[in-house]
Amino acid sequence: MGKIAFVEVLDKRGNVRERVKIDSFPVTIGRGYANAVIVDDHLVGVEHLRLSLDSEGSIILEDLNTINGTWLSKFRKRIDRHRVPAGGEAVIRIGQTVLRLRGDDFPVGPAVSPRTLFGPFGRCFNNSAIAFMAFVAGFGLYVFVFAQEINKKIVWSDLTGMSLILLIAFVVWTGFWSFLSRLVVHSFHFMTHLAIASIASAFFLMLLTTFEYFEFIFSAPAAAEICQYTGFAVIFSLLLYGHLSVMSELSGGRRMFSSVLISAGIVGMVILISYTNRKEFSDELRFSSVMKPFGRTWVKTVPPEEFFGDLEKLRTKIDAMAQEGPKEKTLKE
Amino acid sequence: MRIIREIMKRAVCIAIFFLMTTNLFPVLSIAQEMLPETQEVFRKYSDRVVKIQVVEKDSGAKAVIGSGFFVNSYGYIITNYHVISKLVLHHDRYRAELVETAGAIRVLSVIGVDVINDLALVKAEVNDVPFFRIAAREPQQGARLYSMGFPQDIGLSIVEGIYNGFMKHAFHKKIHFTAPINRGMSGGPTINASGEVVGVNVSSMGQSISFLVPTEAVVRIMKSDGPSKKNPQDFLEDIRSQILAHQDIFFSEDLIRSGQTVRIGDYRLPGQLSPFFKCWGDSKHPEQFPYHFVDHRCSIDDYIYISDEQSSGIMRFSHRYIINDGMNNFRFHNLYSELFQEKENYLAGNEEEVTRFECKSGAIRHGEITFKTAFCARRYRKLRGLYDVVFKAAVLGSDNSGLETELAISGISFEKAVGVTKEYLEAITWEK
Repeated sequence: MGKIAFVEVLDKRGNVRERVKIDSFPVTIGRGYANAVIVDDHLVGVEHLRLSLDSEGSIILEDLNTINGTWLSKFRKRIDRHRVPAGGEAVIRIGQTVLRLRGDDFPVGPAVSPRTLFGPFGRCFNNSAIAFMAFVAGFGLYVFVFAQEINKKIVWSDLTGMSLILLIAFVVWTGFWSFLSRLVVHSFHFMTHLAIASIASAFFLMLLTTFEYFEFIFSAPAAAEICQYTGFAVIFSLLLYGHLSVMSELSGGRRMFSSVLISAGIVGMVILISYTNRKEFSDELRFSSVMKPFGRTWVKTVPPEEFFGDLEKLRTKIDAMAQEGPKEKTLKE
Repeated sequence: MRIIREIMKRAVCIAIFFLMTTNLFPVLSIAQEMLPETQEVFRKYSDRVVKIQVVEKDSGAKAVIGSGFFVNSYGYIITNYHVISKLVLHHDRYRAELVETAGAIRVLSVIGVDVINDLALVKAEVNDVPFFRIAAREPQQGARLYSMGFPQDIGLSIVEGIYNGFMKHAFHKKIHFTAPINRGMSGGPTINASGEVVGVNVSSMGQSISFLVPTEAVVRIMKSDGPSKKNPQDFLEDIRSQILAHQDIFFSEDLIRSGQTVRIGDYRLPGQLSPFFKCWGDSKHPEQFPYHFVDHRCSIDDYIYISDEQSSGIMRFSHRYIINDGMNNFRFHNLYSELFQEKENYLAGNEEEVTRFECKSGAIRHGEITFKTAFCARRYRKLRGLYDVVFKAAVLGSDNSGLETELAISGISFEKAVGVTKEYLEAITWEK
C-alpha cells in the first residue's frame, strides 16, 4: 500500500479549515486548477509547491521557484526543499495561507473527558446537581452576610428583595458567560458558569471577612487594604480562568495569562481611582473603624502613653502636606 | 336679646381696654418719647460711622460689606476682623475701601487685628475727621443704647436697643444687647445718648438677641498701633500667636481633670468641663431598630472666627452609649463599626486653608477598658502650627452594649491637642 498524506489548510487560530487526502505522489499545490490542492490566495504561485516521496518513504516539499517563496511557519525560514520524516509534520506558509502536512502515520493522543476544569473540580462542575449545590452555598453565604449588615429589625420583605437583586446579579453574570460560550463552543454550560461564579464569590466573601479581622486585630487599615486588593486580584483571575476554561479554546497558559492580565488591569484601575480620590481634598476621616465580635483578646493594645507618644510621624506627614500647599505658600519657618 | 347685646358690648369694651393698656399704649408712648432722642443721636453722630467694603481686585466687585467708626481724628477706624478677614488672609486678591456718604472711595490699610475679640483697626488717609470717644463706664442693665451701621447695604441706619450686661458663661467676654442688628452692621458702634462707644456690633442670634465686643478690647487694639505699612504676612503671624496664647489660657493644665463628669451606662466620662461648656443629652428608642442609644454632647459656642469656613477654639465632645436589643453578635458589631465611622460635620474647611485629615488608628488599654481609637489631625496652611484634631474611641468588650466617644478641637497646637486628648481618654473610667 502506498504512502498516504494529508494537507490541511489552517485558519489564523490554528484550526483546520480544509483537509485534502493525498494518496499518489508527486502532486503539486498552487492557485491553478491543475493542482491537487488548490489554494485561493493571490500571493501563492499558479504552481507553488511539489510534494514527492524519497526512497525512505519521507515526504519531500519543494518550492517551485516562486516569487513569494515557501516558509517554515514556526521558524519563519524560507525553504527550497524540506523533508518531513515518517511520523512527523510540517507547518508551512505559502503566501498568506498556512498549511499543515501530516502523514497517515502521525500519532495522535487518546480521547479526553469533556472539558477538564482544574482536574477533578471541573468534572464536579459539569455535574448539574453539584453545580447547583455550589450555587446554593455561595448564594446562601451572600444572603447571610448581607443580612448581618442590616441595622433595622429584619423583615422578610427586605430579605426577599435583597435576595432577588442578588439572584439577578448572579444570573446576569452567568448569562453573559453562557452567551459567550454559546458563541465560541456552541454550548451554554450555564450551570458550570453559575457554579464557578458562586464559588468565586464565596471565596471573595471569605477574603473580605478575613481581612476585616486582620484590620481589627492589628489596627492596620493600609496593610489590610493592600492584602485585600491582592486577594481580590487573585480570586478574580481564578474566576476568569474558570469561565475561560469552559468557553474558550485557548491553551492553559494563555488562559492564565489573559485572566491575570484582565484582573490586574481592573484592580489597578480601582487602586488608581481610589488613590486619586484620596488625593482630592475632603474633610472626611479615614481610619480603621472595624470592630468584630471575636478576636478581641488578640487585639494588640498599647498604653495611652505609647499611643500618644508616637504621633510624631503623623504630624510630619501632615506638615509635609501643608508644605505642598495647593495655591499659596505657608509662612516661612 | 337685649341682655346678649349688652354682654357683647361690655366684652368689646373690656377687650379694647386690655389692648390699649397692655400693648398699644406703651408702644405709642415710647414712640412719642424716644423718637426725638434717636433722631438727635443720628443727626449728631452719623458722620462718624463709615461703610467698609472689601473688593475682589480682578472683578472690582464687592465681596464683603460691613461698618466701622472713627476713633480718632487721623482716620483710624474700628471694625470687625470678620469684615476684613479676606484682605488679611488673601491680601493679593482683595483690597478694603471706605465708602463715604457722597460716594467717594478711599483705600484702607490694616493696622492691627484681634481675632479673639473679632476686632480690626484700619486706617484711611483722612485728617480732622469727627470721631467717637470710648465710654469710660459700663452702662446699667436696661440702659437704652443706639446701634449704627449699614444693614444689608441699604444705607446708614440707627437701631435702638437695651443693654443687658455681659453674656453669661462665655469664655470671650461679650455684651448681650437686645436689638435687631442685621448683616452689614458688623463693625458699627453701639453708643449711649452722649455719643460714647459702649461696644462694637459683632453678631446676632436673631429675635433681637445681639452681641457686642466690649470696649476694653477696643482700647487694647487702639494701643497696638504700629507702623502702618506692615507686611501683610505679619498679620497672619499675629493671628497665630493670639490663638496660641488664647489656647494656653483656655486649655489650662487641669481643664479636663477638674471638670465635671457624667455617668452613662457603666462608664464615667468627661461632662461639663467648665461653665463655658453647654451640654445636652438625649436618648433614642427607634421602634424599627433593634437597638437604642443615649447621647450626651458638650460644646463651647463662642468660636474664634478666622474665615468663612474656618474657626478656631471649637471644642466639642460627645458620647454615645448603644444598647443592643436582641441583635446577634455579628449584626451588633457591624452596627457598632458603622456608628463609629460617623463624623459630625462641624469641622468644615476648604483646600486653600487646611490639609486633608490624616489618622492614626490603634487600640489602647487604659485601666480595665480596651478602646479602639483613631487620632486624626489636619493642619492650617497659612497659620503655621495650628491644627484641627478629631479623636474617636470605642470601647471593646461587650456584645450587649457599646460606648463611643468623640472629641474635636479646632485651631490648636499639636502638642496641646495630644495632651488634651490623652487626658480626655484617661478621664474615661468603668464603674460597676
